[in-house]
Amino acid sequence: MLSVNNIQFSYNSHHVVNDIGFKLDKGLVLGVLGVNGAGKSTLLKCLNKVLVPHKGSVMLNNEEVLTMKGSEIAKHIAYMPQKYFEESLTVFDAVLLGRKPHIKWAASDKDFQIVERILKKMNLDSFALRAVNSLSGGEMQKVVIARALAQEPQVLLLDEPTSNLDLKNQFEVMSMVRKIVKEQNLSAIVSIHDLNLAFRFADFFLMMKHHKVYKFIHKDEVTSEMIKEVYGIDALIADVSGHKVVVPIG
Amino acid sequence: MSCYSDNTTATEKYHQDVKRKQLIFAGLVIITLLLGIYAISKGSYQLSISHVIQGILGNAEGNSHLVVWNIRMPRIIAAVISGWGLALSGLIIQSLLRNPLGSSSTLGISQGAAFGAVVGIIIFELGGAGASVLAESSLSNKLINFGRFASIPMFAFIGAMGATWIILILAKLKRLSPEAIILAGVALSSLFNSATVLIQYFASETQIASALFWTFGDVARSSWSEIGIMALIIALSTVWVTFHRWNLNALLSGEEAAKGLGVSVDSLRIQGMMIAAVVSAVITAFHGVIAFVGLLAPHIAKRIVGSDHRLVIPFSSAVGAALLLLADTTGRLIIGSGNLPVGILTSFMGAPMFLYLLMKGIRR
Repeated sequence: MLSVNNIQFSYNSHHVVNDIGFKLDKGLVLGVLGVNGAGKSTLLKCLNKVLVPHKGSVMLNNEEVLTMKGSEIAKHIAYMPQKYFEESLTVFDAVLLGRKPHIKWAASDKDFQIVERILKKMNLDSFALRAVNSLSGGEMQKVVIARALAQEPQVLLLDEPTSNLDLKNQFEVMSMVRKIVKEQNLSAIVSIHDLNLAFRFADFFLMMKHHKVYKFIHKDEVTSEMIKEVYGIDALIADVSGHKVVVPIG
Repeated sequence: MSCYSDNTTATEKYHQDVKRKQLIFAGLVIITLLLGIYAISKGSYQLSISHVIQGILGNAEGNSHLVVWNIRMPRIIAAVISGWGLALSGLIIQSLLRNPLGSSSTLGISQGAAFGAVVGIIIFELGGAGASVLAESSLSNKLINFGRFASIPMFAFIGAMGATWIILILAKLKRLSPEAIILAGVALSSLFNSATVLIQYFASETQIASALFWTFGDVARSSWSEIGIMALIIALSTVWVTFHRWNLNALLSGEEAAKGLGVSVDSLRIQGMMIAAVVSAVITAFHGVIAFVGLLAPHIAKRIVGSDHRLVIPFSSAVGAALLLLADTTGRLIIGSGNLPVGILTSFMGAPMFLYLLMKGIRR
């Protein structure tokens, strides 16, 4: 169980994240929604001390995360930033890097076994020796997710994992994230702009407005009015082939 | 990939690839060793290979022993150690700033050293130069008295570390981005160059000649004890950078990704910049400005082995050592009268090689 309480972070006395709290059980995907600048990315960074929040606590299985060292946090929480550089490491090395928090000096046989297993699971093993920056956007995103999994975390923080991806890759990446969360009983917090993807792949929504929580709600309970409140546009929530879709009508 | 059978696992392929790269590294070390032996044997006093080996083992007598241990060996070891150190320093700066243009020259560290040396040579009248135009003033006399206890390398080192501190303080106080740090370094280089020219303007012709000669990087200047100091500092720096190889790999994906993997990016950057600066400052202090090796060697190494710091650290060091030894030997045997300063040749070789790498595409 991940319990986030009263998280606050400010830039130059301007609250970017203000008094945010929620609880998330294992095996669930939480979609963090809100307009640009609502504080979604900042919130994610505060949860594993990439940014150190000014107030609040993050409890993971009753242990305070924010008092842990960075290398200790990385054993429990994996973070995929919105922007990352296209490195020229090989795919194998890039995924092996996920073992860094667990490696004391050199990678062990166990580390190599974990990387091998993840590469196979994500169909990356056939190009293990290719440079990451020679891959397509979708493949590169898979490598970053594979690295996060190599950390063997309990929580995944994914900051807009589908931005810059085409429709097919958006679908593949989010399906993979959901499948992994369910299979390995992890918790995932995903900031996402695409409401249709969020409805399809998240279980709960954390809707942010003016840097605060507007609603923390199960996706089935989301209404058009809430979307209007958060995004400022009229939208219909329709049912298509058993999936909820959001259609702007403004 | 065709050399691997279909049943080979990704881990096996990976280990085979690492082994192949380790063999290339061993080859590079052997080539450097052979080049070193060749360099010892050649010169105005020719030695056979057996004489060289006997000389290295301490079995040679008379002139052979003198030539090997007092003339050629210090120069060759100095070239190898300086090349290793400059490459290591360049690699650390490039990795920490995530900028392929990072080196002690682009950060103003070399220019700071040159400024320090020129202050020592002209204002403190070190290096046997003639009377300073300032010598008549009482302030200058006091400075000259202080200068008797000083040496040009000391001034060069102070200049280099001064430049480093300015950059680090600016970076810390103003929280400069890596790109801004490089730009600040370019501005600082220009400032040190201008200050150097200003001091030279007031100096005598002999002093200008002395200062100018110092700026031609030359590995033939250092004594065994100076080589020992450089070797110790560079060896300790290699231990530091090897200890942080995983952190430097994490930084390849950017600061946030590295922090997410538990790296203390700010502390790593300050420590690493300080270490890179000390290494290039001590080399520049003893040998003068040797351009392009620090910039070029890491790029060549990355072309051979990729960006993984577990491999690129030893590769960069070996490439740097081989490059500087090759440049010095070429300058000594082919171009010059036996004494062409290596700094001139590295600039000549370095610029076109760097342009070539740029056209082929740089690897971070």
